[in-house]
Amino acid sequence: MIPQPSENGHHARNAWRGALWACGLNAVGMPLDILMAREVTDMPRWPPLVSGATGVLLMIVLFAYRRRPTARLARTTFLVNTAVIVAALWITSTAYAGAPGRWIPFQANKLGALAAAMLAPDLVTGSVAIAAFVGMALVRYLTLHEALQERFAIGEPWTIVIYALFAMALLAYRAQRIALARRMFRIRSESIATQRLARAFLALRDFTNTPLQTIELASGILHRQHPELGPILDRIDRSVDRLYRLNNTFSVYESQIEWTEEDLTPDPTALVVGH
Amino acid sequence: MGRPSDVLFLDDDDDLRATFIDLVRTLFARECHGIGSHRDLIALGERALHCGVAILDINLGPEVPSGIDAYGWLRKHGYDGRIVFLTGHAASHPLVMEARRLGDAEVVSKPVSLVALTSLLEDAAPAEHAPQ
Repeated sequence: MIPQPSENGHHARNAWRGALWACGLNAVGMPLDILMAREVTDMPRWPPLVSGATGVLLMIVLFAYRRRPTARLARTTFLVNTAVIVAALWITSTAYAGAPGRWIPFQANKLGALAAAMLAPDLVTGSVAIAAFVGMALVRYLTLHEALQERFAIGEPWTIVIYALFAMALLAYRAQRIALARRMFRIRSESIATQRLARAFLALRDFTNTPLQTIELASGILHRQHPELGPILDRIDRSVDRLYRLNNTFSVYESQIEWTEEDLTPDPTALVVGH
Repeated sequence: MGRPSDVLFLDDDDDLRATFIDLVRTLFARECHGIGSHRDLIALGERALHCGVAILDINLGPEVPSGIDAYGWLRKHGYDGRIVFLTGHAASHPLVMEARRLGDAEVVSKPVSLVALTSLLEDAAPAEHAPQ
């Protein structure tokens, strides 16, 4: 028997995979910030470490549910992961902004917005994550001292809005592809179900053809040998004829079957009862 | 030894086989050799090769040689009589398609009516064995 695929299961697995990748990037990427900021004297180390550790923790949770992933779990872990990163970036960005030397602002936020577009479980979750990365950068900028704001390069921090537009476009495109894949998945599932039904009906028909043939021939013999039984045998013949017509209605399923090697010597009982 | 008037009937269903033999003997006064498998056909040997008409079920069950294998055996051993495949499967089934492609054998769908079967056996019957 062909296993019945589950559309929700397929969607949940994809969402789970995206959340796992996002948490993995957090676990690996945020601690790298410590390396990047090793020359920034006032940079606190705990925010990237806490963020990375949360990423690891969320990965463990996701792994624990790998056999029965749900879209809800994927959404929740993805949003928690995003919130922790954004919180860490909020704290570290103050230290970066005040550090001597030139800081290209909110690189991690830009990267985060693009990563959210690629990995978010769905359109709404992705939009929330992108808004969080971009909104945090803009609010952070507006809450910085004017002197620090003036140190920003030309066009900053507003280039992040362009990143946000690109991220939203990527997310929308990806959501469209996912919707298309889901539609294709549904069609394929329906096709498999129809095939299974067609096989069962045809197996039933093939299974009954031989007994019907036996009854028809036996009735024919009795008609010739015992003409006095004619009225009774006529009733049998009419009943058999009705079963013939029922069998013929199953013929419509013939065109829907894609025959396989397994069909060459089928066991009709197994096809009908499924084992 | 089989005779040209004899009918060879291959089907794995015991009841159909027994009924068919009764039918041929009762209504057509001809001998019918009923067999249930490719192995039975080989065991029947020469007697099978001398039958005037061979009616073969295509599907003889899972994991066993089919009626098409029986057809191959008959032709390989010089059988030049009429061969009719009787099948309960869909016309699009691969085995049925293969049987149709053979060219020198007819394919008839189960259940075949008594009238059609009579016509089939009459066509294959030698003059002295016309149906009664």
